[in-house]
Amino acid sequence: MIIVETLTEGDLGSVKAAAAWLRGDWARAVTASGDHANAARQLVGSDWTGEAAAGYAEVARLVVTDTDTEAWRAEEAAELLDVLAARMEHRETRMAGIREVAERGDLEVNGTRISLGETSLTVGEPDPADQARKRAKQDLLEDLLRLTDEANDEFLRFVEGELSDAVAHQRARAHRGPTIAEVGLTLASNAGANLAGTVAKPVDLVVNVGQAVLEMGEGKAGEVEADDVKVGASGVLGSVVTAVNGANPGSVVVSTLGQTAIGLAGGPDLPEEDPLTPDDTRRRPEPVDPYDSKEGRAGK
Amino acid sequence: MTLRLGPDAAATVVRAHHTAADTLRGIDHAPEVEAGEATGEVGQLLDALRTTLDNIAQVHDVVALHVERCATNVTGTDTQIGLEFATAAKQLP
Repeated sequence: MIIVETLTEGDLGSVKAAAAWLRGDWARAVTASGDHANAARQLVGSDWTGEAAAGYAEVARLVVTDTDTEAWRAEEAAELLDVLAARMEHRETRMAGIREVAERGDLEVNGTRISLGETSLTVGEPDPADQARKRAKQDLLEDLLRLTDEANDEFLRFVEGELSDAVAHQRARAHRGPTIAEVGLTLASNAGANLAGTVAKPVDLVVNVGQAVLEMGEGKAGEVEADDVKVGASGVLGSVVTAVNGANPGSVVVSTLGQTAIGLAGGPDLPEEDPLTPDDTRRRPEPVDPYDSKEGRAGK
Repeated sequence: MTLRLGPDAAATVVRAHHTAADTLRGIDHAPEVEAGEATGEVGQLLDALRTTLDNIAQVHDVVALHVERCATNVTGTDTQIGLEFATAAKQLP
């Protein structure tokens, strides 16, 4: 016996509320944070010079730019939730339509479930007209089952395709860490510069990068290659770099490497295809940076 | 050439960066989203956005820390701190 279930899971209102929250509280906070950062930049101005000042100017510029980018990303995410809500609504509408057709076709509709309903036993010779009606109802039920499956499949394709890709992209940005090559080359460079005279025998290097554990293969200091690195997980902040001497864990190597400046985070945003961008008509707005313009500098 | 940021200016700049960080951390948690089969993806999306902001907030804190150091440190540390700013910048997404 076929039962067609037209129930759709989810609360459309909660998805719309999340999109509104991103455009409201979230966007306001990000904008306010960017304003504070920009105010700090402007305060420093040109009163401070030197390497540190140049470093500050660069990181402050980047953090302001990235904050602006986050406001834009949040709007993209909100638009993605809009699309999700529209897909959910579309499926609900299709399911309601299927139930209407079922009722008109004399099928039994019980809540969101559709079935043939009670069937009566036939005594004696079956009535051809009655048999034809039953066949028609059976055919209709099978058609509605197919339409229900199509509606569900279409929604799942969106979830597992477009939505999942966009989420993966955001997660990659959020958890971007150093590339294997960056870690390997930096360690090799630092090891070569700082440890060559200190470590006279092969060492095993273990690098904890946030939640990541990068295991370096055996070799002499200064001979670490990118191929030696095995990535266990990803993560960037709260990073601790340690080196463990195979024979004497926690030896002098730990403190020496711990004081070494190693670029632990990833590089600039890769020019990859952004699945959050719905079409070619939308382009990321260039963040306004008054310090990059003559007017901005002059007005400071 | 002024290698040392004045203490008053430094204090104001430090406050501004901490305020910027606190503003990002102060965003309320996302509302509960029940999106059927897409609930997991939506949760991951919102978590990723939150993590990115947390990363930026941490960079603000690091920047503020180094600005404080610049207000007190002497010329000899100037080059080293410049390198550390560059390291902090690389933590941005």
